[in-house]
Amino acid sequence: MAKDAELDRLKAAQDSMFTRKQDAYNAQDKAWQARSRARDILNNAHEQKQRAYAVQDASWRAFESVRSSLGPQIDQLNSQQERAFENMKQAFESASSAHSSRDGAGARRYADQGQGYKAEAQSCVARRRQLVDQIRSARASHESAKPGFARAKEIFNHAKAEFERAKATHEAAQAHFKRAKADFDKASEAFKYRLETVKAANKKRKDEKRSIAQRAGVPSRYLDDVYVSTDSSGKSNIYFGGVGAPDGPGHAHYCIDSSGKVTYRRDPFDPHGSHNYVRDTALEARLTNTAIAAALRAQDLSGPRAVQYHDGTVTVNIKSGYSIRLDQPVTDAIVVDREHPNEHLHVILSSVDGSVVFSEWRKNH
Amino acid sequence: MKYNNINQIVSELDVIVEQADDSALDVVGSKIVGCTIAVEGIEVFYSKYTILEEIAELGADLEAEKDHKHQKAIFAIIKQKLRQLKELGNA
Repeated sequence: MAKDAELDRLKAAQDSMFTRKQDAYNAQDKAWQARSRARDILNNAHEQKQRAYAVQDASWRAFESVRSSLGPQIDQLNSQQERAFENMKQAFESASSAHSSRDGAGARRYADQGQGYKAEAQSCVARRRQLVDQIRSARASHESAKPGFARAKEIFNHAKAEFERAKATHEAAQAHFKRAKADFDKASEAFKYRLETVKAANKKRKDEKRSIAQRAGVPSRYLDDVYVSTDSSGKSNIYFGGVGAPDGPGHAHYCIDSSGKVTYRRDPFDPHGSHNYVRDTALEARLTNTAIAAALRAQDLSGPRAVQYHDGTVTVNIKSGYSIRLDQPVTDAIVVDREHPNEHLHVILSSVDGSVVFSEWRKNH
Repeated sequence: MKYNNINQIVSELDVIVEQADDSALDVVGSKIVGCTIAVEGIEVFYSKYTILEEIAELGADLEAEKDHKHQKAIFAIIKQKLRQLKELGNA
C-alpha cells in the first residue's frame, strides 16, 4: 500500500489511544479487585457485627427477663419488710408499755412478737439481696457482651470506610476507562475512515496502473503486480515480473508514450538493449528503403562520409569502402530521423550483391 | 547545430570513453556514432579535423562489430585517435 502520512499519524494515534485504553482498563480492573476485596472484608465485618449484636441482644433480653421477673418480687419483699418493720416497732412499743405496767407476761409475749416481725423483716432483706444479686449478675453478663459488639461495630465502620474509598477509586478508574475507550473509539473511527479513503485511492491508482499496463500489452498474469511511473510528459514506464518485486532483478520493462504508443518492450529476463525499442515497422521499412536507395546510388562514390539524402526530416550519411571484417566492399549508411532524435538507423549494404548485412536502430546516448 | 566547437565534441567523447566500462562496446560505438555522425552539420568538423572523421568511422565499425576481440581492438584505436585529436586539434 502506498505511504500516507495522515494514515500513519492516525495509526500512531490509534495505537497510542489503544495503549491508554488498555492501561485504563488494567487500572480499572485492579481497582475493581481492590473494591471486591474491600467488599468481602466489609461483608465479613458485617457478619461479625451481626453476630456480636445477636450476642449483646441475647444478653440484654436475658437481663431484661431477669429484671422483669424479679422486679415485682423485690417490690413485694419491700412492702413485706416495711409491714414487718412497722409490726415489729409496734410490738416492741407494746412490750415496753406492758413492761411499764408490770405486765411481765404481756411484755414477753409482745417482745416475742417483735422478734418474730424482726426476723421476718430480716428474711425479706436477705431474700431481696439475693434477687438484686441475680439482677446485677444478669446486668454484668449483658455489660460484658457490649464491648464485643462495640469492637465489631468499629471494625465494620473501618471496613465500610475502606470499601467506600475503594469504591470511589474504582468509579474514578471506571470513568477514566470510559473516557479512554471513547477516545480510542474516536481515533479508531478516524483511522478506519482514512484507511478506507486511502484504500479507495490506492485501488483507483492500481486500476489506473492496471489500465496503463493493459494498454501497453503487459501479459494478464502480471497485471495485478506492476510498478508504473508516469512522468510529466505523460510517458509511462511499466515494470513487472522481477524477482521479489515488479522491478526486482530480471524485471520486464515496457514504455508507453502519452498517445498510448508502446515505445519500448523488454520481457522478463530478456537482455537490455536498443533492440527492445518498439518501432513503427512501416516507418522503419521506409527509412531502411530510403537508406538502401541512397546507398545504392552512392556505392560507387569514394571519400569521406557525406550526406546523400535529406528531405528535411530524414538524413542519410553514406560512406563506401572496403570492410576488412566482412572482406568485401560495403556501403555504410547512418540514417537520422528528426522525429527520433535520440537514435539512428545503421544500415550496411554489401556492394557485391546489394544485400543488407547489418541493419539496427541504435541509441545515440 | 548541436556543437559550436570541437571542444564540445571532444568533451562528449571523453565522457563516452571514460564510461565505456559501464556498457557493451557496441553500445559505446553507438554513442560515438551518436555524437560524431548522427549530428546535423557535423561535416563542417570533418573537413577541419580529419581525426574526428576517423573516430566517427571507427565508432560505426565498433557499433556493427559483434566480435568482442575486434571490438577491443577498435576501441583501443578510438582512444588513441581521441588522444591525437586532443593534441593535434588543439582541443
